[in-house]
Amino acid sequence: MPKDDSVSARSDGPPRIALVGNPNCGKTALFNALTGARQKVANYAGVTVERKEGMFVSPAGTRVKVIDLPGTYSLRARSPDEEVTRDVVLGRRADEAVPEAIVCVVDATRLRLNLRLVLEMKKLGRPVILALNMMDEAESQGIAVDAAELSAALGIPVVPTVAIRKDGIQPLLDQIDRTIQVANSEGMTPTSAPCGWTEPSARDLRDYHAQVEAIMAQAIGRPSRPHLATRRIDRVLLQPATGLFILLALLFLMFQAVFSWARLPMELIDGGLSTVKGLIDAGMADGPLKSLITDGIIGGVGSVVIFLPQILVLFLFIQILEDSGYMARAAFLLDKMMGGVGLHGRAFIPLLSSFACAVPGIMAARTIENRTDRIATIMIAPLMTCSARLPVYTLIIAAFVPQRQVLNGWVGLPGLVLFALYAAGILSGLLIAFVLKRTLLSGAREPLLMELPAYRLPRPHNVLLGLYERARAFLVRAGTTIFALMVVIWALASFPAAPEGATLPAIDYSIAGMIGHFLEPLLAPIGFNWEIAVALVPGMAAREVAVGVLGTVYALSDSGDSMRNSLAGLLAHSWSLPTALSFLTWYVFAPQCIATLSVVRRELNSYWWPMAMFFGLTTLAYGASFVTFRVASSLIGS
Amino acid sequence: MVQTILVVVLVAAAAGWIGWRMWRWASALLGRKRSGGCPGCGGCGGGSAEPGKVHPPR
Repeated sequence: MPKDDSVSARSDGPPRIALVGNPNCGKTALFNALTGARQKVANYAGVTVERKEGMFVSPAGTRVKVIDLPGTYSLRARSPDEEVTRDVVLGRRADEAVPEAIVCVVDATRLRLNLRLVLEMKKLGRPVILALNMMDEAESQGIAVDAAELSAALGIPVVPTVAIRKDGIQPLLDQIDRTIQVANSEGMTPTSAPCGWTEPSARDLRDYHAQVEAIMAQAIGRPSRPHLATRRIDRVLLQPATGLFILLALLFLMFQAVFSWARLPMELIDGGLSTVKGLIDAGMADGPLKSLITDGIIGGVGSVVIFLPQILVLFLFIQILEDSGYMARAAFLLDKMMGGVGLHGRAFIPLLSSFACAVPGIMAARTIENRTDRIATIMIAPLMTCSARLPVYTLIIAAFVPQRQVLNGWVGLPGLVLFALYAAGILSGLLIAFVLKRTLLSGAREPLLMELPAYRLPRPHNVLLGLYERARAFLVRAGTTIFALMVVIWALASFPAAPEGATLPAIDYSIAGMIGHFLEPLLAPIGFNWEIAVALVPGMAAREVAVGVLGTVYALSDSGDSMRNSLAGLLAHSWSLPTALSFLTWYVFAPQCIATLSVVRRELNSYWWPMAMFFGLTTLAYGASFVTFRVASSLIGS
Repeated sequence: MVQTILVVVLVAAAAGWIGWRMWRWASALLGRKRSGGCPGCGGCGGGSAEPGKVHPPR
């Protein structure tokens, strides 16, 4: 790594400012407040792992480009997310001009830690503005921050802000205007400004520390009302025995709620789809378009959309846990268990993000410094049950697991089975990590160092916004990719028509039928019929498409009053229990998501790892389904 | 006849859309594009998997 960097990238177009700061100090909240974007914010370190770009028009009418960057404690980058920040700030990215000014965002309640990075930024020799964020929390803790004194001590403008409430944004915009004007009038463009950053030595760090102490004494008071609630709650939640029990109880409650809370809205959607289907049946002449709408679109897309309430209930829990500050605690609680299989404690958050979708989960692994730890985390991320698998699981559970209360009526059996499926993914992931860390990815284990944020009450606005974004993304996907796939699948399942005198259902003679029958011998040993074979191929695009394809394939051979009940009922009638168990087992392991493989290639810059992931997990899925099917068949008969 | 024409148009458009998506995914897999690997899960607020995305001014 070079010791000195000179800025060479040239900036064309609007002025650019970069948001830089320690993790979890509110950079993305400020980015959202400035640009009107809706980037994800949460109460733990490592939410942002990639640069984000937005624009705003300043009060003086200047279009300004703003870049949100991952949090870092220093430009001495230790992990890939910190390297993103270092490279953008120092202008090391070939495709990116260096920012004209830097807005340093600090947490006003943690200035002793945050100010060191500000001092490092000042050494760059570029205009720096300090956004003194979370001033509301500093005030509630009785921390007296003298912004004018702090500005004088640092020699840079200081603007107090509360980014999540958009307080202080106007003064910050005014200050950005003034800074840009001064930089322009002095001809201080990034190409002419010297870059004085060198990697800090131990002596530099001691100097920074001494300077911070002097500034703290000069401008910052001690908290007169320190928050004791966080410490009191942590005494219970971080205690190994009670903490783990509470964590397990929370997860268990979440899976029970996925079934019980979502039942009514699911029934409403189901009823609505049945009504629409009935109206089309009654009012439209028979023909290919009617079949496409009822069997392909309502039968296929409808059978996926119906699961939206369950996905939203799952994300409601995740969002509340993320906003409260509990996530970092869960990482600490599970650090010992993660360490037991060779994973780093920081792997917890990427793995937990993978329950939403493996793609952001794999990207979140950038916060892990050690490459072998990062690869191990990425390789097992697809085993965490993503939300796209939820419709598959709940459909099969609805078809084969009776709605019964167990454990003295305290627990619903469907929720218990869902919990077991999630647990199966987690346990198999840990087992694979254990094997990888003792073979291909062996290395010493590094200790977990992570800031524990203060507990905060989740903001209803943020929770609702998060749910809205999830719902929107799900419906957009249902209305685009899944819709298009269902139309194509319907066509493949409808043409060519059955020949005269055919004895089998028409779909058996279609292209989809031919493909399914061609693949059937390969999948017969694991108990899959040709309809399942047809569903697995488009599942590469999105896992939940398998449900839609089954909906379309079975709708073309049957018609029922209620979409979900008819599909679940048809599956219960057409599949044996060993086949259903084998199908569930396949989906615990199956890596058939091309977006996941793409992001693995990009993150690890290698073709080897995505290939190993695809072939390794496919072999595992086939082997585990084979064992499940054979054992279940021998025990309960096929 | 009208139904048949509409179905042909719809199926052709859907096949085109899928072809375009597959090309994007294949490009991402081969490393030719930085974006394209986004499955649209919404978990990032619309940006994590799309490094080049620019949010317009509001």
